[in-house]
Amino acid sequence: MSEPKGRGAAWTEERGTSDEGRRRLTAPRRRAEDTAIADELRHVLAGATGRSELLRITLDTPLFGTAVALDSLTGTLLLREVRHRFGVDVAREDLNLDALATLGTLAAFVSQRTPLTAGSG
Amino acid sequence: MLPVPPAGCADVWWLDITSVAVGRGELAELSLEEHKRAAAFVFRADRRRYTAAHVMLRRVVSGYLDIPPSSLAFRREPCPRCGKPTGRPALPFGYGVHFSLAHSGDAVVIAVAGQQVGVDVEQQPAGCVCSMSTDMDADDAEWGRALSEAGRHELVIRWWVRAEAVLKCTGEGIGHGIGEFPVLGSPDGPVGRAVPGGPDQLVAATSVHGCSLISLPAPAGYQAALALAGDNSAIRLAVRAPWTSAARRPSRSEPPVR
Repeated sequence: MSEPKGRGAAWTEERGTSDEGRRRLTAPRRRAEDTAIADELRHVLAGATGRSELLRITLDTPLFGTAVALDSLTGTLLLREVRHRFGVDVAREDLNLDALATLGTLAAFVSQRTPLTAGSG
Repeated sequence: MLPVPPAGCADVWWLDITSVAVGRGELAELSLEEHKRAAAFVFRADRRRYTAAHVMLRRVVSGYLDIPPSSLAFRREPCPRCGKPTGRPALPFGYGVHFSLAHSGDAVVIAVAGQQVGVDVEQQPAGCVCSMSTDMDADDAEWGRALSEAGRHELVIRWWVRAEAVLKCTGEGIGHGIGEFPVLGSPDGPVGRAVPGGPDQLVAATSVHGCSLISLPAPAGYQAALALAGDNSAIRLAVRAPWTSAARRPSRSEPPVR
């Protein structure tokens, strides 16, 4: 397999989160953060697809496979937006993509790799 | 029975899923596995799109073989890169028929050929897709720099459907190879060339990753592309079912699906 000769530069600036502010976390605060991230992921999905019903999917809803019928483009766009908004490269950090099993597993995966927002929990 | 397209040729079938009702007669043509997949959808509209697309796939492929739609047994070939069963869909004995299915929004498109074929269609997403530019080959991404934001969005989707058509043709899928090679280059030009409808159009193709690649005409708000295995300077394209008239409309006397 040959290495790609190069990838396109971003047309928009990445906004990845920094490690600054990382601290020891309590479980209740982490769960609240998971919920906030899940809400943002629902909005990303609804915005990317134009399907408002995706704002109502539950945490145990599978994201890939058939459940919500994300096509390959939307699935890829979701991962790009996760990287863009949270600074978490799911494809790079989770080679088996287990994090993508459900909305809840993705939210938890992202939450564990981002600092808590001030005042959360 | 329809003749399988000869080398360098492909048949294309379009379906607008809003124009069909899928009843019990049509559902009976699907396999147990297809029923299981359909049942897993959370939203009815997604289930309907899936069932309509797979009923149509069975009927289209059946038309090239002396086999009823419900008797077709599809399987997945191994991925040529990783060996997992995620490669091209195929029939157990091949029968010399190659096919590819894609659906997005209300549009379903099926390509049939006598050699490996890949097709993709995408509805223009509602949101910004500029973040995808980092996945593009550098040469492809360069085309977007001088464009307006709307032009960049169109370019990203054009890039995506052309890349995915190639990777479906090779069986690699987007899990491998997306952005590893340029797909927007000449002679199709940076934004492709509209392909007129009707049968037997000879369309100049771009040689990409061992395939011959063309942009397909698509409904408003959609973009589509088709790739054939091998290095053909042009593809002879027969649009068997244009967007405006579905390939075969199931009987509306049947009760609609769920």
